[in-house]
Amino acid sequence: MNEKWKNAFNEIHAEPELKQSTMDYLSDRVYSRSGREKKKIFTVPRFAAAAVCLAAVLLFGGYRLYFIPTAFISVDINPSLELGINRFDRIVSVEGYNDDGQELADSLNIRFMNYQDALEQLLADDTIEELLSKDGVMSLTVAGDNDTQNSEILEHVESCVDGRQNIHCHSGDSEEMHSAHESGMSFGKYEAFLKLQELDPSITADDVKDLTMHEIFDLIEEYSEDHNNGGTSSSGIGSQNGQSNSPGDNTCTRTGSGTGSGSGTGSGTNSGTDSTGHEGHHGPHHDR
Amino acid sequence: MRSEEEARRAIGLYGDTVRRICMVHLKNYADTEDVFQNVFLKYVLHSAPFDSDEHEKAWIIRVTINACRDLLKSFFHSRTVPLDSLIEKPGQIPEDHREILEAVLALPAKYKDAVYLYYFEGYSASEIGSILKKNVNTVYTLLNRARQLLKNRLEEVPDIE
Repeated sequence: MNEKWKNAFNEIHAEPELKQSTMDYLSDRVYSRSGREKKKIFTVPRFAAAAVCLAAVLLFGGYRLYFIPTAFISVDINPSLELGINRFDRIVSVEGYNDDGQELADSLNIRFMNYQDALEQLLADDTIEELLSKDGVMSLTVAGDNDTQNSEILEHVESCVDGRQNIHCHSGDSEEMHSAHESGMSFGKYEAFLKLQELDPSITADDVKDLTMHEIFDLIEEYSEDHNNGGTSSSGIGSQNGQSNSPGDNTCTRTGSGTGSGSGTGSGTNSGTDSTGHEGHHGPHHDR
Repeated sequence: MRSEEEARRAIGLYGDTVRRICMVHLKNYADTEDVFQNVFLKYVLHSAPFDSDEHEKAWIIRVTINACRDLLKSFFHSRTVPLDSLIEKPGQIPEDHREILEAVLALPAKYKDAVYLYYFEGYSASEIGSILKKNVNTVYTLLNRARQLLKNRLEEVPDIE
């Protein structure tokens, strides 16, 4: 009985090809030294290549993360320069936008510093101290894509310059900043230029480029004063003709309107004297 | 590490046994080939000496059973169905004793090893117990239950002594 069972399994044998493939497998995996070495040689560069790729990706990502500025502080007196700040609040670029600015940028060693320390150092710099003491006006403009970082920086900048009269702080948006860079100006100056251009459209970027901030602010002030004065006088000419003349004419206008003559567009002085004349003549007539 | 000659000898001596255990557990040739190669790779890399040929054979059986179980347990196996298991493969089983083999293959996995070792390799219950690392009484229970199941399919099933 048991024989029958034994025979059942006896008919099953390991196929010769199975044995052969196993021997091949063993000699490939274990015995063949050349095969092993081949594999080793092959695996090392493969791992190295993978590692290099990974390192490249990490480096590139890290570079982008660290070296691409996400916010800018534009510093303008006459030297105008711009500090690029990355997302870790470090200064990653210092760029001068005119010769003075370039010089100052070269002399400052604030790259990779925290922007708060850098700003303190910048304000303590001899050149800037000197310019500020000579009645220069400094403008600090914060711009960037990240609103949170922007407002944080602006807050700090404001607290940093607190108590100094001749330093202005404001923030702007990054789009304007890009167009400022296109026209070759730092953002703070460009903002001032835009303000100036609003008042006098004939002013171009080139005119403003080499002016100090103080000069630009002076110009703005000048223009806006002009504008205000010119504005009221011109409107006065149009609508309040009679009143703007000498006090003696006042009566004329009053009497003129009383008689119903000389209204409308006629020139004020003439109609005024005319009506006085009329009044003068008419009066006695009536009395009589 | 064992030499190439030893490997060749072992494959010649125990290849059939390994192949049979694979047949009992596995359903396709690719898996069988995997286990077969793994068993002999382990053998070649296993450098501790064996007390006797019997010891060596028992070691091979033990390793083969474990390899089959590992393969069947693996995630890939538990989630996929091999294509050739969908097709009937009568070629794998010899015609003469088809009934017996089919009855054994139809048993639940836990009985297969005990049945194979008892009826074919001729091991005693206590030897099977030491190979499968099970209590002798447990082996008897397995064998008796397997016999009951086999009886449903076969007219004659040898008694357990």
